[in-house]
Amino acid sequence: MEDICIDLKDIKKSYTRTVLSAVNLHIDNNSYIAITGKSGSGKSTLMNILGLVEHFDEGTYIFNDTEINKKKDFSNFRLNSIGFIFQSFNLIPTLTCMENILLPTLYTDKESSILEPLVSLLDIKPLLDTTINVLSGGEKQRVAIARALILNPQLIIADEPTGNLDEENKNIVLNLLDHEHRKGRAVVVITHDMEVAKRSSLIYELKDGVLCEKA
Amino acid sequence: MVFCVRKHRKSSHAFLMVKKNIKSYLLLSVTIIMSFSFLLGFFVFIDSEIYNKHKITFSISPKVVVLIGPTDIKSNLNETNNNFNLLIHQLEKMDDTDFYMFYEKQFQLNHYQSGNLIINSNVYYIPNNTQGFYENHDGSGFISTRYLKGSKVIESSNQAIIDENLYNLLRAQGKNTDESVKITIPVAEENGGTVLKEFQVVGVVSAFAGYYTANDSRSLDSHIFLSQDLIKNTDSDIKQSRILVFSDRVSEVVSICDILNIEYFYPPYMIQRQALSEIQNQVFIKGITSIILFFLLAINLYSSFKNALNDRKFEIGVKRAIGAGKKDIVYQFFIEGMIVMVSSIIVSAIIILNLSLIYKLIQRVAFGVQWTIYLSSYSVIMFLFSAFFLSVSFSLIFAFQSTQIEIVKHLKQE
Repeated sequence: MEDICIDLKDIKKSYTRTVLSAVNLHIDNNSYIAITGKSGSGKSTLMNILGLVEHFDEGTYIFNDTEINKKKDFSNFRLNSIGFIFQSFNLIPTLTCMENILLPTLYTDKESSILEPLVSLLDIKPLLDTTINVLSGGEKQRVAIARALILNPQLIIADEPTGNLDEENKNIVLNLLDHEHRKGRAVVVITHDMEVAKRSSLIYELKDGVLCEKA
Repeated sequence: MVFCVRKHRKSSHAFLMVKKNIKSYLLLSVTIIMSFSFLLGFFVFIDSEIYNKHKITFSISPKVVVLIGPTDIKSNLNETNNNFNLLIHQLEKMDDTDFYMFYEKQFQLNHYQSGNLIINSNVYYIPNNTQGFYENHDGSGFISTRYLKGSKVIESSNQAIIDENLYNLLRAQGKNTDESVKITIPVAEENGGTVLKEFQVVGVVSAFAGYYTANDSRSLDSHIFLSQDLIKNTDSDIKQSRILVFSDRVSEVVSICDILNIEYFYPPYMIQRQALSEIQNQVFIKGITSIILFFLLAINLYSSFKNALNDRKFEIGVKRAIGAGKKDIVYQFFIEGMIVMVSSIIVSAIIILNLSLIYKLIQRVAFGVQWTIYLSSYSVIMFLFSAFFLSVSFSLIFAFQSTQIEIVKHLKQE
C-alpha cells in the first residue's frame, strides 16, 4: 500500500452560515478516524472537502505534499487515492453491478487485478450482471464498496456507510472497513452512530465548526 | 469462474451509455429527426419541383442559335448586309463555333392530297453533309424535333429528310416500302419553271406540328429538308435566309447579335437563361428559408440537449466524484452527442428518401407524371454544412455543459 499523508489546517467553509470554522486534521496510513456530530453540524461538508469534491474558503489543505487550491481540478487524486462510500450508495442505476464496479478503471491507465478477490471478499459474484434496481440495500453497499476499492486507494472516506442497512449488513460493512484498515488503508468514517464510531481508533466530534477529539 | 479485468475504452463506454439512456435520448432523437427531416424534405421538394419543371428545357443543348438572315438571298451576303458581314466575320473567328445558312420555302403538296386533306409543306434547304436543326451536336432535340431514324445528313441533291407524319402518310398511301421511301416535290429550274422531282427519303425526324381541321378541311403541316444545291442557280421566291449557329459560346453569339441588331429566335439558350433566372430566385428564397430553419433547429436542439443533460446530472456527479476528469466527461458526452446526432440525421435522410419515393409513386399512379427526385449540389452542401456544424457544435455545447455540473449538488443526499 502506498503512503498517504493528509493535513488540514484551519479549514473554513461558509454557506449562509459558517459550517466549518477551524478544522484541523491529520490522516496517514495508520488512521482509522470516525467523525461524529449532530445533523447539520457540517460532517458531510467536511467529507466533501476531504474528498476533494468541494472547495473550502480558507485554510491549508496538503494532500501528499500537494497544496490543494481552487484553481485546479484534483480528479486524479480522487481517482487514484480516494475511495468513496456513500450512505445512499450513488450507484448509476442504468449500469449493471459489474459496469458500476469497473467505472473508475475507465479513467486511468492503471491496471486493476483485484476484481476477483474483491468480488469473493464482498460475496457479490451472483450480482455482477444484474442492474442496481433489483438489489437490496446491503447488496448495493457491497457493490459500492467494490467500486471504491477497485483502484486500490490509500484512503477510504465513508459517509454514514451503514445508515441505510440492517444489523447484519451493517456488521458486514464494518468488518470490511476493519479489514481494509488492517491492510494499511486510512479510513475516515462520518457517522452519528456511536456503535460505528467505536470501531475506529480515533473519534472526533464536529461541534460549532471545530473538530474535537473524543475520549 | 475466472474474472478478467478489462479496461473499458471510453468510446465504447459512450456507446454503452447511449444504449443505456435510450429513453432519455428518444425525445432528443425525435426532435433531431423531425428537424432534419423538415430541412432535407424542404430541400428535396423545392429542388425536385424546379428540376421537374425545367428538366425538358435543360435536356436541350444550349449550343443552338437560329438567326434571321438577310432578306435577299440572290445578292452576295457580304454585299447585302454590313451587319451580317460583321457577324460572319466574328463567328469565323470564334472557337468551338460552326454555322451555316439555310433557306425556307412554303408550298402545298397537291399531288399527295386525297379527299379534303391539304398538305402544307415547309421546305428547308440545308448544305450537304451538315446537320439539320432537327438534331444538334449532342443528340438531344432542338425545340420539339428530334432525329428518329435513317441518315442525319443529306449527301446529295436527290436526297430528302422528312418528318414522321409525312413519312407515315407516304407509307399509308402504299407506294413506298420501308427500304425505299420516295417523295416527289416541285422544284424550281434555272429557266424559272417548276418541275416535279423525285427524292430518296434518307432520314426521318419527329414532327414539328401535326394535323388540324379548319373550314371543313383537314390539314397537315409537314417539314422537308433538301439539299441547298437545288436552289443555287435558280430564281427562287424564297423570302428569307436563316443562319444556324452551333456554339459553345452562345452567350457571346447572342451578345453580338444584340449589338448588331440582328434578330434571333428560340435559342434554347434563352429558355434556359430564363429557367436559370427562376432557379436563382428559388436559391435565394431557399437560402433565406434555410437560415431561418437553421436557427430554429439550433434553438430546438439546444433545449433538447439541455433536457437530455438534466436526466444525466446524477451520473455526471457520481463519475466526477469517483475521479472522472472534466476532459473525460467532455469526451464521453461529445461522443454521445455525435452518435445521437449522426444516427438521427441518417434516419432523417432515410425517411425523406422513402417519402420522396412514395410521392414519386403517387405522381406516377394518380397523375401519370414522371416526377424525378432531385437534390442540387447547393442543397447537399447546405444540408451537410448544417448537419456537420450543428452536430459538432451542439455535441461540444452538450459536452461542456456536462462539466458545469456541481458534484456535491447532484449526488444523492439522504
